[in-house]
Amino acid sequence: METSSTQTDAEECGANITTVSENILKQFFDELAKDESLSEIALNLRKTVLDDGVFAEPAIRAAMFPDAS
Amino acid sequence: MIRIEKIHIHEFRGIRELKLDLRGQNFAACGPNGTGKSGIVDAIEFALTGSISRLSGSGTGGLSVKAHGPHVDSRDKPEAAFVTLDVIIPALGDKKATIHRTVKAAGSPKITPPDADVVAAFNSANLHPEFVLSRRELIRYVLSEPGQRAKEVQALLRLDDIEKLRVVLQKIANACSKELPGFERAEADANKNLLTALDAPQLTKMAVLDAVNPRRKTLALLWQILGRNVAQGIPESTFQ
Repeated sequence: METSSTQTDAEECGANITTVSENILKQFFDELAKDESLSEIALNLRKTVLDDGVFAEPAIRAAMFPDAS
Repeated sequence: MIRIEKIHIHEFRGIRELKLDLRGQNFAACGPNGTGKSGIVDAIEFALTGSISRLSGSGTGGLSVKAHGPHVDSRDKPEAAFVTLDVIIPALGDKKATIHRTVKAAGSPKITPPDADVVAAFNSANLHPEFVLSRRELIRYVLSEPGQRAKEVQALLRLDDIEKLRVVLQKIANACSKELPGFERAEADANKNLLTALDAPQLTKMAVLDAVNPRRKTLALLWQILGRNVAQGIPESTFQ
């Protein structure tokens, strides 16, 4: 692809390419983080869902209840 | 957002050769059936995404762009079928750019200039397939049941990730709701037992401290006595 090198550049530049889902989920986690008691959970969920792309129940449970064994 | 300045369609779908000068304005295509109106929409979608949703939607049998993208007279010449869009990108200060895509190399468009911000803008369009709605899709939304319509919109906007998370969160919430009464009962029992053991009127910080501290004092005294007696050789069993 003639643009492959520039696409890599775009990714490295952190070009703001997001899907509708990602935008909605980001806003959801931002809202969640505003609640002091849920801010840690919001961070964990954001990492699990948006950064790692994991939607499995065990991972979501672990993000929500980090102290549960 | 991307505004189209010019479209050049060549040997693509039902169109042999077409150049449109849109100047970044909205446009409408009208004409008799079979004259290529939908072909223009297909061409714009193909140029920006490399695919044609009309060929891959339900009921199409998953037709391939390579086989069905070129004009019937160029079916064996996918390199001859191409679409070129000259565009303006308002978000980049009305930067001008061109994307050229052939059916033969549908996954490898030529973008000019190949700047990172321009490539990102085209990728962004690729991630938002809702920019193309065919007549068939519009009619399907109008005629569909309300519940089904929501699913159609979710599929169109690729909201499946949100649905996945919603289902998991709902499942966890349901499980927590089932477990909660048991935990609440256990908490109530534990509180009741603690109050009984402490002989305290209520479970407040002060009431608990008032009940516990005299016992701690007694216990400390007991340990002192026990320690002294053990040191003097009196067996612990004497105090049991």
